[in-house]
Amino acid sequence: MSYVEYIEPKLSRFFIFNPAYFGLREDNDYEKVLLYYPATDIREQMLDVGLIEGLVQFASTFSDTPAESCHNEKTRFTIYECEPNWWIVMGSQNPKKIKHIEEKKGKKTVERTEVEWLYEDLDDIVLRNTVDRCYKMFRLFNGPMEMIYQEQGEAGIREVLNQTFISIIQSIKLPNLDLFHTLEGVEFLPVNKNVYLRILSLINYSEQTFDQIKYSTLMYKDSLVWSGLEQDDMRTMYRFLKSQKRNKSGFLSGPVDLNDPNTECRAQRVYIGPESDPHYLIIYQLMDCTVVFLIEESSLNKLPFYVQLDKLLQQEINFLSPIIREYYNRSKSSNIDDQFRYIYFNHMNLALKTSVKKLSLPVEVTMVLNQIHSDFERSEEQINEIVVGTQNHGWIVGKKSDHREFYVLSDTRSANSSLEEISKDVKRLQDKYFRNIFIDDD
Amino acid sequence: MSLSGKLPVVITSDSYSETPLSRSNSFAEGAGSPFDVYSSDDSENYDVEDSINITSFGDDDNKVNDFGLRSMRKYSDQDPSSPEFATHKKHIFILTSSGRPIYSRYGDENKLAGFMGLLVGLVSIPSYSEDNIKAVIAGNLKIVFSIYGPIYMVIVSKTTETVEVLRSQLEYMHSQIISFLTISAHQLLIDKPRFDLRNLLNGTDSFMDRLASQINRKPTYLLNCVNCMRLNGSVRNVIGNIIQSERGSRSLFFALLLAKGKLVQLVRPKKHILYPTDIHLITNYINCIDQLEIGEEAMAPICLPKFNNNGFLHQYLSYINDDVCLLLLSARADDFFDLSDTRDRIVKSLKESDCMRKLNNWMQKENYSVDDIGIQGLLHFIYKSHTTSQMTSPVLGPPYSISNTQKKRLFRLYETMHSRVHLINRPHKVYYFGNEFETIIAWVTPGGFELYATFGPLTPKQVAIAGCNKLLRWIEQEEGNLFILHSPVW
Repeated sequence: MSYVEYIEPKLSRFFIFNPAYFGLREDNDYEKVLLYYPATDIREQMLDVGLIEGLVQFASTFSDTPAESCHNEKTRFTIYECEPNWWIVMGSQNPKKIKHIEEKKGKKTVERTEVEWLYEDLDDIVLRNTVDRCYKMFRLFNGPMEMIYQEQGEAGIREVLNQTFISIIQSIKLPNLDLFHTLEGVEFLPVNKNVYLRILSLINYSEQTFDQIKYSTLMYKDSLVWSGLEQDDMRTMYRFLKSQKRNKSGFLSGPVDLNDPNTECRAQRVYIGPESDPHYLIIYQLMDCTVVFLIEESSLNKLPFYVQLDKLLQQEINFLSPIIREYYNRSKSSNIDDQFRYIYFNHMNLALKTSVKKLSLPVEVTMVLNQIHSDFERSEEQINEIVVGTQNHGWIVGKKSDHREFYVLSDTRSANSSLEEISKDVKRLQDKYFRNIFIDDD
Repeated sequence: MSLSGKLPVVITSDSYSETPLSRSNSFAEGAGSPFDVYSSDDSENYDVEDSINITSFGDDDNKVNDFGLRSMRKYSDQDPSSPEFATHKKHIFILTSSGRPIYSRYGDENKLAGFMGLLVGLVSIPSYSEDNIKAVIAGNLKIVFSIYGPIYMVIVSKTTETVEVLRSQLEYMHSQIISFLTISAHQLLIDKPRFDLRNLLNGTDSFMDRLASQINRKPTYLLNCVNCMRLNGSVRNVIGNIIQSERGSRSLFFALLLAKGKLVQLVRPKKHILYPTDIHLITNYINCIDQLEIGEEAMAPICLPKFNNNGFLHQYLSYINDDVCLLLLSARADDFFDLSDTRDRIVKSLKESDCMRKLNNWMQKENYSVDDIGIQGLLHFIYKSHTTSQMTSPVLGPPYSISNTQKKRLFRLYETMHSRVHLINRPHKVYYFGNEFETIIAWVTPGGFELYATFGPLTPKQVAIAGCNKLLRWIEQEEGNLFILHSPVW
């Protein structure tokens, strides 16, 4: 029996190099490689680095934009200069089809396989965002590479990279990269004016009373309610917080025991803002609310500050939490027609709203969505709308207006409906949606 | 009676017997480029071994017999260090696996040796990991690599074209080279890696240049089909029958009648199809050589890669009037007199049956515009029939006819739509695209047709869809005139 097997893409290699500071001589040029995962022969490493350097050099004769990706048949390289002279490269093994063919040769049945590498299937934007996110996560907890090198020297940066980057790399799951990863939006929980003002006054009061607090963030379950951080940092912080387990109450990150005057204070250092200033991350959890404070280094071990903070937060959150819960439940049960799965994203505030269960979309639908998004981003002329009627996956609609993107996937059951009908349905959905967002968006 | 500089040899009844141009065997026999007019009376063989003794690229100039014709190409003085070199929107480089230049769209090939060496390096590194380089992206710059055995082809493009479109353009350029040399060029380069292929390609730059510019702007290349001349179906049938009945010798394979460079009729053997890619090579050839006088005849070899990439067919070309020419492709190089007779008989029958007069009338009004069809909101369209591999399209009207930039912009949109529609395994049924300037609907039925229809930006969807339906009905009504529905066979 003949059949076709689809092999998913996977991470093939990941490396970081700096050709300007290290390995400047012929005999030590391998030193420019600071990190290479998975570890392999230095000659193979240098082949990869040589290719990338050659491509970047070559492309620079024709274009001011540096080379972003190299499409090889088996491997897709994503090239990202995260800081001047510091290069991150991710190699992804392309998806492939293996055809198992049974043939009759005389009396015997022979099996053979044919491999077809799908070398244009992976989307460069998605891959680039993945690398960017890895870098941002690294920078949040370690600061920029340049800064680490200046402070700790060559040995220092090598050590930090090898210790911290590996776990970030291992968290990359290529087959699961889809439009959500590209947009990297934040799920907001819109609340009404009064509740919003109450939350705002809590934040302001905390920040005024406690000098040490520089930035604050409030989340309810997995939705963001308030953040004082800059967008880039907010996205990374939000992603980090979502990945943390928040089962217990009290200070998840901060003083271990409020009652013990000599208690240890466990808090991670984070680097925030364009200058990557160091702060300490304090996480407080109570009744599904997660409050995050970023405090100055000097205040880390001052117990009285935490005790006071704890009292304040307990009081306020006890009041606020039930109210926020109502909004949360309301937003989760809003009855948008189940027939349509939608994704809404606002570039200005990074708000993301969706009824699609993550990781549930077929590969081909993901490819079309990524392609539509890429067209929205890269086209010189402003594209307003793209509607795709696929053979096997129903209709896929993408609309863009100002900074908002709206995608709708229709059920395959309605595959026979026409372009007109789909457009009417989308308009209905859109009116419902855009209007809601306007009211709750403060 | 002779053609200027480039090619092919004009065979008059006197010199015919001296021409060594039957090239159904390989190069090893030594004669120079079939297109090199100066080798026509050469009794000495141009020994292939000679070219290997050329020590450096710089010396080639002395050995090349094109008498400075190459320097007449635009931008041919540039090299990679010139600032203007990098500003061209689309470079095409063709080289061998050992870095020898074969063709460069811009610049002097002789100065590109180092640059070509770089390209070879970039191709070879992934091969150490048993991988192959396919493309490099840098912002809106795309560098696409296509490897055909020992021939490397590279496009460096700043247009908005997709990697798939650029790759198919390289395939056309490669077919053009094969059409000059046959596929044995590959074996030649494998056996003699330092051989300079340009010695066999003298005078072909203009063909390559023209092809490079055609694939950049003609939907027939994008969709891999032929755009025939619009002509009354019954007139076309009579023409077909006339040609079909005048075969003459059995070595005559294909007969094409073209008017203003567009195909009017085609007659073929029952078992052999002439594919659009081959037809494009033929029309490119006709458009490149200098106009023959009416009544003049010429014969030259051509290899049609899709038909048979191993050998040459011999094309007999003759103009019947200013715009109409007859092309007869024969398997034999010595068929000239038979073909000439066939041509005379065909022309006589065409004139007697009044076909020539009718053909001339249709040529005046062959182009049509969207106004002639009368569909609300429709600005332009391209319709391709999968079954016949032919397309039809009206002349561009406003707002696209206003400037070349607009024309180009629309064509680039069509190219992008084509790539989008064919993104996943099964092409999309419908692809609706709306930007601030226009709305384009692509409609594909596998095995049926492919339609790209452009409407104004504010056209409501119902109007656009109704327009498409009306258009399809019009095309169905007119198909007898728009397409060659029946090409006779012998």
